[in-house]
Amino acid sequence: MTALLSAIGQHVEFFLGLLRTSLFSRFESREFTSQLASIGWRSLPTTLTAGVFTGAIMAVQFHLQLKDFGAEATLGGLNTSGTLREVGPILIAFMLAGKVGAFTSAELGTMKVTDQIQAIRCLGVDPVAFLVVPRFWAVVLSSVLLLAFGLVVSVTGGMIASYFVGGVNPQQYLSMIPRFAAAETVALACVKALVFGVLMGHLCCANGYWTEGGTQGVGRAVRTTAVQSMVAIVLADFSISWFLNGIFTALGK
Amino acid sequence: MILFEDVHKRFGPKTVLNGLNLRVERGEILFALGRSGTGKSVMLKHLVGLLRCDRGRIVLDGQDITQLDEAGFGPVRRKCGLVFQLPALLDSRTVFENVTFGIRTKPLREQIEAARRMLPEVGLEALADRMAERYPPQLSYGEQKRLALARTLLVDPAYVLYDEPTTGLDPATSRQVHQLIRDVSRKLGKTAIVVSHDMENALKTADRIVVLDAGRVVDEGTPDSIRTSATTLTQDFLREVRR
Repeated sequence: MTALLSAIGQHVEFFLGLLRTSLFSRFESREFTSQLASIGWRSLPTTLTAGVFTGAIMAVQFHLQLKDFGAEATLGGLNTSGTLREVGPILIAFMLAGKVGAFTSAELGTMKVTDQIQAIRCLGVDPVAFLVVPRFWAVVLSSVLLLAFGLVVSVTGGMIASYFVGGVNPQQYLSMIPRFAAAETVALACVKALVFGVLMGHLCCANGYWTEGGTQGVGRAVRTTAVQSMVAIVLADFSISWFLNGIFTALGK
Repeated sequence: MILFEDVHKRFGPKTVLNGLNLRVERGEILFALGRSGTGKSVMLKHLVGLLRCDRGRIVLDGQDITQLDEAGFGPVRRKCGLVFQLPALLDSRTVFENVTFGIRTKPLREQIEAARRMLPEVGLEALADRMAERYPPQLSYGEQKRLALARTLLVDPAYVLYDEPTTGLDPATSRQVHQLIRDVSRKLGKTAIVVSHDMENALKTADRIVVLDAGRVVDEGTPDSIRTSATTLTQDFLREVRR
């Protein structure tokens, strides 16, 4: 229990330090844009694949259930709502945690064990400001953009699968979306994308920056990032869904 | 002048520095020799604030740096440049960006001039015209080490700390690097502290040699006096040279 609290304390301290440095240090815009381009571009195929198939899988499953009640017409709405609210953000975030999170963690970890971070410090540059802050914000922004892109793609994937599996007309599919997936569904997806991005960005940067023990240490950092990201994403998903659904219910949405 | 006074450092149960006393004069080339794990690299890291001692005092040019915080070490790090055992270059940055990293807030023209001036000093004149096109992974290990030295020298430190500068280099390149250390120190007027296992090159390059064992100095002197030293560990190192 003490170890857990100590670990949480370290993460909170690192995160607050990261925010403080973001506010008060010179922003390394070149490092940020290069990371953003690199992470975003490299993750596009993964996001595209995850998005298309998430929507398609959901469409196939919903169709199996709905056809028994002769309610295939509502497939577009139900599928989009379910994908945007829950399955899309979490599955795409898992894929990104495995790809973006692992890469960033490994990169920072390698820099740490090959003395690059200490060398930067010795040259009078704060390694958190130079390496960590731009990577954190690049991961956050690229995660939000990729999740948004992935969700749009997943709706398209669902529509295509519905047409081929259930014979649902695309126009009919799209016309049902506003009835089931209103503004609060999109808001929920956006909040989740942002929170998942912050979690992934923090965890991959912290674990990479804390790497010790040579190449084995880098491996451990990557594994820790992947595991912690997935657990954190699931917990955050549950908390956000619970909290925001409560708010939307109270607002009568 | 650098002064270590009764410096102690432990990592868990392991005592690495055990009452280290050492004085380094301005302008000299000091070699610190010793077996692995005797605290040579740890000693250097204390000087630039990467490690803090448990007990004792470190004085740099009359200033006690023992209790400085991270911000306080800023000026110290500009005065003491550490060349790491590994080149520790940024692989995703060009040769130019690496070499000028410590002066990157200066105007670009100034950076270019400084890099063009420094690269030939470390034997990388061939890179001076292509420094914006080449990346560290495209260079040989020896070239990477020279580039790391150029990066440190561009900050213009008074003291250059070399942490096992010839690790991973063949004997010929190793000799060149030692010659480079001597040339740089003499030509640019830098004080050099070189942590090494290499007694042969230490005897040729150093003004003074100290031998460390179990976290303290057990022998010291000029290369000539070290050659005739009766200290057991020094004798062991000298036997390796004679083989």
